[in-house]
Amino acid sequence: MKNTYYLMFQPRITNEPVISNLIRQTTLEVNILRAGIDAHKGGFMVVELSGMHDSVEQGIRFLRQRQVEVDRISFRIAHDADSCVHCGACTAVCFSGALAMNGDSHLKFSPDKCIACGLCLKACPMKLFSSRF
Amino acid sequence: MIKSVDEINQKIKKKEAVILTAGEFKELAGKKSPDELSRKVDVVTTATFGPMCSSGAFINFGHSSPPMRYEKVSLNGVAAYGGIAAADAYIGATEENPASIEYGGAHVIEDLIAGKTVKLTASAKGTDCYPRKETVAEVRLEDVNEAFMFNSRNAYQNYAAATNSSARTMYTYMGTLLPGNGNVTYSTSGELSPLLNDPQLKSIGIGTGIFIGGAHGYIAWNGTQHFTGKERNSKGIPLGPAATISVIGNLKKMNTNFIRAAYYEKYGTTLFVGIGIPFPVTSAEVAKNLSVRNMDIETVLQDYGQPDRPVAGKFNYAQLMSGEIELAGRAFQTAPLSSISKAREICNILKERIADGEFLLSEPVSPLAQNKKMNKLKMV
Repeated sequence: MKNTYYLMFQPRITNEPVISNLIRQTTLEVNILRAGIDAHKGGFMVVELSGMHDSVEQGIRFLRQRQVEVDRISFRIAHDADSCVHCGACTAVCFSGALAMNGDSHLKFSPDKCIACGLCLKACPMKLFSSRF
Repeated sequence: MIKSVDEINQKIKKKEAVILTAGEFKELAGKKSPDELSRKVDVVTTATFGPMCSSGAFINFGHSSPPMRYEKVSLNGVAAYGGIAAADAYIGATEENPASIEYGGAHVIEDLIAGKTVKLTASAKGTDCYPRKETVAEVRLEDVNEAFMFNSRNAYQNYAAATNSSARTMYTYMGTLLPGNGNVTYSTSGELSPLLNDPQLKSIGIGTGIFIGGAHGYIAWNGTQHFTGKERNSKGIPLGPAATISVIGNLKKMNTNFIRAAYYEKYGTTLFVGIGIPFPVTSAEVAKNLSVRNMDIETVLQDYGQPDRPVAGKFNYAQLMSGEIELAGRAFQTAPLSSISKAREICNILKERIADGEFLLSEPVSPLAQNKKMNKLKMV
């Protein structure tokens, strides 16, 4: 399985090579899509975790034991699809491919491709995106 | 001419008319000649649903007691123009509430259509005719005497696409333009768009009945900045902003599926307006115009990153709608701003209304202005 997660790091955990240890202790492949972390200040990371279901579960447990908040990215960003008029303005700023027009000119939102850049929040003229980044 | 508008209306009344949406008609046009099409099809519905800033509504709120000429008027904190007769005002889509700039006239209009209560505050100097100086009231659309949308520039016949070569993100009415030509935006319903299906404005004119925001309305005049002299491509389609229409319709009959308020980051508020125009297929020439495809419609790409917005290239809408264009050997991501799916929905609804006999076609009372230039401001 392969999923995208949003990780929040506490300031004190930045002393530990968390991702390095995560890879060593599990068989997970970790693809860092986006990160903003300062030593002693904490921050966030958007990662793609791939591996067997059990390994992913184990990895998430490992992170949570270190007080890293772990959420599926889809849990952190919401789109009010019922109010969407499918104008496509949000797709102008989405480079991860999470927001794209389908062949039928409807907006297709694939949260798992989201990298939490937040640009769509401002680009949507109807303000239909909300996030907890 | 193969058939008149009257004859088409007779067929509609007898439920014998062949009515197609622009999408359906264009499919058929790939298989039949304009002459065959004009004999087979009676009506084609076209539509657009996009941000149209030159939109607003006239409202008569009813008189206060004692009466007052509402001179300074605001609706939910958004200024409306009260410099007309007592109890009338015009609320424009781009007027913002200074205390909350993401809420503007467009939102007031959407709230009214949604049936919400809007707070009216008005003040005046007080005169013998109109002694009252202050009024506060709660207003609902169903209670006002008249409310009609009157939009001075809608349904632009083509519009330039936008990009940004500068080093900073630009927040524009063409959406968020990322630095270094990071993206390209365009705003049209392309081959579904009313005025692109009538490039010389021979079918529509003043008095043409239209769908506006869910209601039945009319083309009132040419729109502001109506420009018929725009350079055209080999298919006769103007290469960028050209003709426009001003439109009128009953706000009380509109619905929020087809009128939506919007806020463009660091630009301001605007109104998404749904407009549908049915075309009577009276001749092979009309059928030929209605056969236009996205690949035939070209527009220029303007660079908003430079002060005079120079032209960076020319593209057709099949290219722009593919999601990517190539310019000087580089690929650029493209994005729409106008809803094609909503335009299609309006084409379908208009088709149903005509088929049900609710909506008959109209002959223009007078043609739209031809040979119209665009003047620049003479600054002092």
